[in-house]
Amino acid sequence: MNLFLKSTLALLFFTLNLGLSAQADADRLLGVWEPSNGKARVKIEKIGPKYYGKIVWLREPLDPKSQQPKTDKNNPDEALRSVPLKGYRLLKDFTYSGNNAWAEGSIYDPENGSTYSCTITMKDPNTLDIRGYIGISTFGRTDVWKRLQIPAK
Amino acid sequence: MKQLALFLSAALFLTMGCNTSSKTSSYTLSDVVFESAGPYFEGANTFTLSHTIDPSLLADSAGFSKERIASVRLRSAVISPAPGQSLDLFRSFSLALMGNASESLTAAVLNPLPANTGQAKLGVSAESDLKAFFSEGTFYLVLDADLKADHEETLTLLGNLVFEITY
Repeated sequence: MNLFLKSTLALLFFTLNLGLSAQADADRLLGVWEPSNGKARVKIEKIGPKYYGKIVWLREPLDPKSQQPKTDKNNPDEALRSVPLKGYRLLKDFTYSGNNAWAEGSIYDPENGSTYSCTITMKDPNTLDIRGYIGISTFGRTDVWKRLQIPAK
Repeated sequence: MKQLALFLSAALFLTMGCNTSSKTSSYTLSDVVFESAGPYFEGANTFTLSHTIDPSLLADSAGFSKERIASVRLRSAVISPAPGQSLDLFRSFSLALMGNASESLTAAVLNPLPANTGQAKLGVSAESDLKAFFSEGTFYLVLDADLKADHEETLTLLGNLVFEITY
C-alpha cells in the first residue's frame, strides 16, 4: 500500500471516528430525567437531528376536580387543550452545541401555558441544569434534573 | 361633511388596497405509514414519518411561486390501523410536525379516542401555521399514540392528512 493510500485511509478513519464520538457525546442526553420538584419524569428522545423531552410519569396524573387524566388545559390554542399531559413533549427542538450543552430549544410550563427559551447543561452524567428564560439567559431560572436509573419507557 | 366624505374615501381606498386576492389549494397525504418498533409500554409511544416535498413544485402547480405561500394549515387528520390491527389499544392521539430548522408544532389531537372506532378523526388546530415545514422541504410527522397497556408486537398506523395552502 503506498503512502498516499495509507494517509487517506487514516484520515477517513479519524474523521469517521470523530463524527461517531460527537454523536455519542450528544446522545448522552437520552434517558429518563426527574425535575427537582419530583412532580414528573421526562423521557428525552431524539427525532431527526434534534432532542425532545416528553412526560412519561406524573406524581398526580388525575385532575383534582374532574378525576380524569390531566390535559394541557392552559394551552393558548383552545383546540389543543385536550392533549394529554402524560406524553406531552415539553422540551422541544434542542441541538447539541458542544461542551456538554444543548441549546436552541424551548421548555413549556403546563402549569401556566407559557413557553420559555431553554438551554440544557450536563453537569455530570446524571445531572442536568435546565435553564429557562425569556429573551436573554441572564434573566431566567435554573432547575436541576436527575437521571433515573430505570428502564427507558 | 366634506371631511366625512374624505375620510370615507380614504377608508375605502385603504380597504381595497389591503384586500389582495388570495387563493387556496390542498395537499393530501393518503395512507402514509407512521413507523415505530415494538415492544411498546403503556402510555405515549412515538410513531414517526419523514416526508419530503418540493415547495416550488407545489406552488407552481397552483400557479404561484413558492415565495407566495402565505400559510399552510392542517385541515383534516384521520388515523387508521393497519389491516388486521385495531385502534382499541389506544387512548388518544396527538400529531406534531418537526423540522431540522423549524420549531416543532402540535397540529391535531383526539382525546379520548371513542370506543370501537375504525378511524380516529383528530381535531385540528386552526392556529398552527405549518408554512415553515413546507418551506424547509423535509419534515417529520410525529404521532404520539397513548397505549392503554404494554404491547409486544409491532404496530403500524396509517394517516390521511389534508393540508390547506393559502397564497
